Amino acid sequence: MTAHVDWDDERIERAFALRAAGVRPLAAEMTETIVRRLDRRRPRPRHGWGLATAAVLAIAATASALVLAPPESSSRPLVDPVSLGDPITVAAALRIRDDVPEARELVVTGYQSGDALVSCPFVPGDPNPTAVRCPETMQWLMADPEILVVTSGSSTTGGGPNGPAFHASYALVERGFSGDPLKPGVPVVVTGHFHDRRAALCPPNDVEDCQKTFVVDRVNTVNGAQRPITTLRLVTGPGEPETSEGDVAALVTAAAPEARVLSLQLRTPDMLGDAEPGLRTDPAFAGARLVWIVSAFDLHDGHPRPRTFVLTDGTRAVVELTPNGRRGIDGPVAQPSPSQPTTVCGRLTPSSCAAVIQLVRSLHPSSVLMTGAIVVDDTCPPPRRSAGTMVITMCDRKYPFDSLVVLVPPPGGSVKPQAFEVVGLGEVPERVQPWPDAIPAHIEALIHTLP
Amino acid sequence: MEAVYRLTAAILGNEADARDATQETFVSAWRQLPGLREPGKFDAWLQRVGINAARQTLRSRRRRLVREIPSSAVLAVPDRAAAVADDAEILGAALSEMPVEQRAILVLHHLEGRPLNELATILDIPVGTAKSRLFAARQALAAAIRREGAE
Repeated sequence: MTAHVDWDDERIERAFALRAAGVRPLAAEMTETIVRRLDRRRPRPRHGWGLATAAVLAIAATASALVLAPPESSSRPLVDPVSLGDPITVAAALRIRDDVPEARELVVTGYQSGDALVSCPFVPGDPNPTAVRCPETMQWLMADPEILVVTSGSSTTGGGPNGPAFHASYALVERGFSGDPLKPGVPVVVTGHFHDRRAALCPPNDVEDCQKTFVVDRVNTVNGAQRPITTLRLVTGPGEPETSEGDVAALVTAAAPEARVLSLQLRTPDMLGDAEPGLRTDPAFAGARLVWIVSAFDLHDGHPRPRTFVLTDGTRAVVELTPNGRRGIDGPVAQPSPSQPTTVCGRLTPSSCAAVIQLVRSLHPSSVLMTGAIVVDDTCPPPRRSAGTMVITMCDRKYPFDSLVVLVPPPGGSVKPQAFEVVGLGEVPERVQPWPDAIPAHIEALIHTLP
Repeated sequence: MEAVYRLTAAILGNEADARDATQETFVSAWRQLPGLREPGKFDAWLQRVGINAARQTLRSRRRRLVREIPSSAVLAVPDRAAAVADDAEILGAALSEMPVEQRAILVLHHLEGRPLNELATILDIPVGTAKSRLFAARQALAAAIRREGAE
């Protein structure tokens, strides 16, 4: 390729126009995709429905006139439906809440009131799944199918239920239903718990109220129809997870064999604090692309106890969140390699390769421990011969030092290879980040050279 | 929406990335709309969100933009007509070496024909700053084109 002199405005503009002319038009389904993503966010308005609705309308008007599509279900069966015994009534759940000041998983049958028809003021403060805010303060899980909002002529009146009821927080689950406030509540069976550990992170004056919130870990049935274990996806960036839901559940149950999965969440780090206020400023997950949260339970002294596990997408290290903070628990899904992993260094010098591996090892010790082989190479493919001609690949490098490390699990396991990009602004590796794309063909080829 | 897509495609030089950035633009705009101070400048604001989305897309995907070329083409001396046709490719290659901020100001000015005052509005910077940034971007583009020529 040869550059030519005289790149004046006219020539630059002509080149820009030529380049833009080659871009194909946007696919028609793009608007639907965007609206689906917006719609998924609707169940949790923190800043008021009026504002949120206005925002959607403004953007939809800019994009094109659209009808909001129904939320795409991300439900996938993972394991057999969990059995925690027969559902109990709302009244029975309230008795347990008041008598037993500890978190216990309860399966409760009742009627969930409809979404309130109110515009809520902005409430400062960080979200907490146990903190019930407007409009959720007007929503109840009720013992009886009560209608809470009544219209008469031009007036509308509403109030709390007459029978037993409590506030249920659906902040951690794919709720998958909504109710009409002018009709009796939706019959549901939900699994959840009071006295959630996150209540301690509410403002001091609100802790008691937060403990009384029933944090839903699973929606078992809606209108009598069974629902599978679901994944709540709150992802603000592009890209799909590397680890499948099934693998996440397997990693958790391997790390904590007594735990039974109730539901999953997939979040980008910016959405992590809404579910786990304690992780809002935790640097452990700040650099992750995607993070999985698994709500589960086990039997402790004969009582079902809620447990929460977190793992960075694409990794295997499972962390449990407890009232005392987080603790790492590595599962036995992939057994530690009995010997030092085989190392393939591609085009890196031995010293650079060793530095790269050392950096990855220091940041992901458990992952390296479980590895059968480590393959390292530059991210840019090497020249190759094709039809008698040498083909050179020119890469858009963002770092002078840009390598890819693949941790290849021992043969026979179900765990996928794990890839990290190790980059640096000079000649040495400085930073490790998960590799979000497929492993490049030239590195796959190196992996295939392994014994 | 097509305008945002065209803008991000011109900045990113990759349709798949541009589609992602377009999605992100509208999802981010939905979240950020309460922060829109001047509704009359919605278009400029949306383009700014688009540029940020392009930056995020590039950062999060970290996908390498790769071009495969036969080695013979590296050594060949193209004739004048072919060279003109190559301008778009040279420009694309040069832009790919530049930060998103500089790509954006060049795209807005040279592709969309935005004058300095509109650049300033879109980028939410004073006109003088827009002028100096455009100048710096032009310098960077010239240097990148020279490097492309040297390859």
